[in-house]
Parts: sequence; structure tokens; C-alpha cells
Amino acid sequence: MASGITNRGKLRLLEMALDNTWNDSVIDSSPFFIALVTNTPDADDNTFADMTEIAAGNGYTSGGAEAAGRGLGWDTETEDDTNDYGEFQLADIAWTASGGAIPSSGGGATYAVLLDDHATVNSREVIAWFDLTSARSIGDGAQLTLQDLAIRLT
Amino acid sequence: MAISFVAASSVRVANSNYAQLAHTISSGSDILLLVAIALTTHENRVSSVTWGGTELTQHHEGGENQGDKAWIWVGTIPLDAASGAGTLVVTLTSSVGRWCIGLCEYTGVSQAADPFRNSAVTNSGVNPSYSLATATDSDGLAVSAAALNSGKDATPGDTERVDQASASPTQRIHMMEASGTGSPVTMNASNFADDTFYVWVNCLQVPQNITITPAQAEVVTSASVGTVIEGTDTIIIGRTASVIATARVGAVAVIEPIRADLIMNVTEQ
Repeated sequence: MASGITNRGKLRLLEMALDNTWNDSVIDSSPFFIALVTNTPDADDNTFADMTEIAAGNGYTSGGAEAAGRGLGWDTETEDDTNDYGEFQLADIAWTASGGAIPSSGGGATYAVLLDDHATVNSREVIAWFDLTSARSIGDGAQLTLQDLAIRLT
Repeated sequence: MAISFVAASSVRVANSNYAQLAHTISSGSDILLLVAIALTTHENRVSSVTWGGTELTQHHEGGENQGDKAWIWVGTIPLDAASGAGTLVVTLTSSVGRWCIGLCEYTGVSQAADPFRNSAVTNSGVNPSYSLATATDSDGLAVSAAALNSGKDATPGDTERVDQASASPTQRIHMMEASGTGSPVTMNASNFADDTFYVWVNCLQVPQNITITPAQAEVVTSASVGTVIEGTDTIIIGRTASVIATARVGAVAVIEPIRADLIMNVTEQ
């Protein structure tokens, strides 16, 4: 019989790595961040210094928006025995443009990246990236919402 | 957020190529100021329209291209204009006997480069009334500006915002709106006393929101047992970052994860 990791095991691995919990027992509550970038991330990237962030201002803060933190802060946790994966899903992240467009200058965001909470923004580690499928920008008063950002182990 | 009318200002001008119109921009958000100028003639045109020294964005100009009829110029004050008191300054190419300026302020309007949803729909003619249809959506607001000539009157079927007439012989600027409730929306003006008018119609749009559901970030994992060696054989495995120690006595268990090689040597001393 070939070796493998159970779907429960995948979920628990995600719990340990992303939620600092084991079976819903909280260990700590450090937050994550979701930032918007214009470059194409890849598996070799390490920190936010490797990214090209969109221009800050008008409702977008450099370093991104604080996302669900460790300690039962994730939106949805899934163990899928039919498709054989474990998955953690973030609560929706939204920015509202105020006083001008987001980005305030330059090109629109093409990817969102999940970062840890290092005090120095450029030192934050890049955990995952999410394809926004095209360059995204919004006018003053409009809202950009990222729904169901998920980390999945298959 | 819905589009809302805030305030209007207007002025009539006689025998001049220059006029000013004072207006105070509110402190609301997503503001758009719509400016319309009605002239009696197509020959002496609008030369310059500024707000705070900045030229307005022209959206339309047209009318009856003959004699002293109705001619209209439509534009918007720059979208990032600051709140507070200001002055609209209009200069024509030459003096005109009778002309009028109207200005309407709205909040909740998309601040995209083009705040209008649809192409301008214009109409002109000599009929006593006009009825215009423009495609809208439920969030839009259809707005119009009409230049009316020679003592004419207009009884709007929708919400009137500016109705400014000059001295006789009358030139009039008329601005009104109708909320978008589907497609099409008809704006009515009836009971004109006599002929010519020229009308511009368009639809303001609300800020457009974007919602995205990106594909999940997926990590493929597996666990497998590599080669189990018993005895004192030394095995070199061509994987990156591999460290292999030779066992003196006993078995070497090799576990190879996908992205990192982890080798545990179990020796029996």
C-alpha cells in the first residue's frame, strides 16, 4: 500500500502552520496580511521585498490589509474526503477607494499575496499568492473585494 | 450608493463674450458638476470654460447650424475639484446678444475617467415638444441639458433643476433629470410655445465595485518510502539537497518528501 497523508492530516497540518492550533486548541493569534502586487509571484519568492506592491493611498495601506489571524480566525476549514484535500479559507478582504482611485497611481493589481506579520513590511514572508486574472483598479467610492482566498493541501 | 442632486446655479448674459458663474461645491463624496451653456447662434462659439483656472472637460457641443437658433455646449468640472466656493469663467469667440449658463452638482457619481454610462443622445427640431429615451440601469441617473430659442417655454415631465432664460429675445438653458428605472427612460418636455431647441442627454453612473474569487493556492503533498537498505551498502540518490550517511550496522531508512530530502539514519551500535 502506497504512503500518503490523510485528509484529516492535511487539515491538521494547515491548522498547525496557519492557525497555530491543533484540533481547535488555540496557541497564539498572530495576524496575516493580504497585499496587492503588480508582479507575478512564484514558488522561489521568500519575502515581500521580492514583490512589487501597488501604489498606496486612497484607502490602500502599504503592506496590505490584516487578514484572519492565527487562533480560530479563518473563515472556513474543510476536510474533503471526496476530492481528497484539506483547505483553509480566509474571510473576505475588501478595500474601498476614498479620495481617489486604488491604486493611487501606476498599474492595477494582478495578484494578491498572503504575508505573515513581520514588523518590517518588506521582511514579511510570502506564504501564498492568488491570481486576480487581470490588472485590477477601482475608482473613487468603489470597492474591491477578494472572496474565499484559500490554501489547499491535496 | 445612489446618485443625488445637491444644488444648481445659473446666470443669463447679454451682449458679451465673457461671463462668470459663482458656485460652492459641497463637501459630499464622488462629486460631479455638470455645466451647460445655451447660445442663440452657432457662429460665435464657446472658446474657454474654466473652474479654478482649469479647463472643463467638454462632453458635447452642437445645435441648429443655421441663423439664430439653439446651440449648446456641455461639459464637466474636473472630478477632483476641491469643495468650497469657486467661479466658473466662460469666454466666447465673440460677443453674443443673449446666452445662458447652467450648472448642476451631483454626489455619488463614478469618478472614473468617464462618469457617463451611455453615449450622448441628442435631439433637435422644430416640434412643440420633445421626448428622449436613453438606456439606463437601476443605479444610473439620466440627465439632460436643452438650449431653447426665442421665448420658448418647457414643462418638464421629470425633475427640473435649471430653467434660466435671458432677456428678450429669449435664449434659455434648461437642465433636468430622470432616475433610471430600466431601459429605456423617457424624458418629456412639452408645451413649447414655438420652434427650435437642442437637447443633450446622458446617464451618470455610480462607482463600480469589483468582486473577485481567486483560485485557491494549492500545495500537492505526498509521503513515500524511498529505498530501504539493509546492511552496510552506501546508496547515492540523485536528489537535490541530499545528505546520506552510511550505516555501520543495521538498516538505513530513507524518507523522501516532495521538496526536501530528509534522511534518517538508524544505526544499531
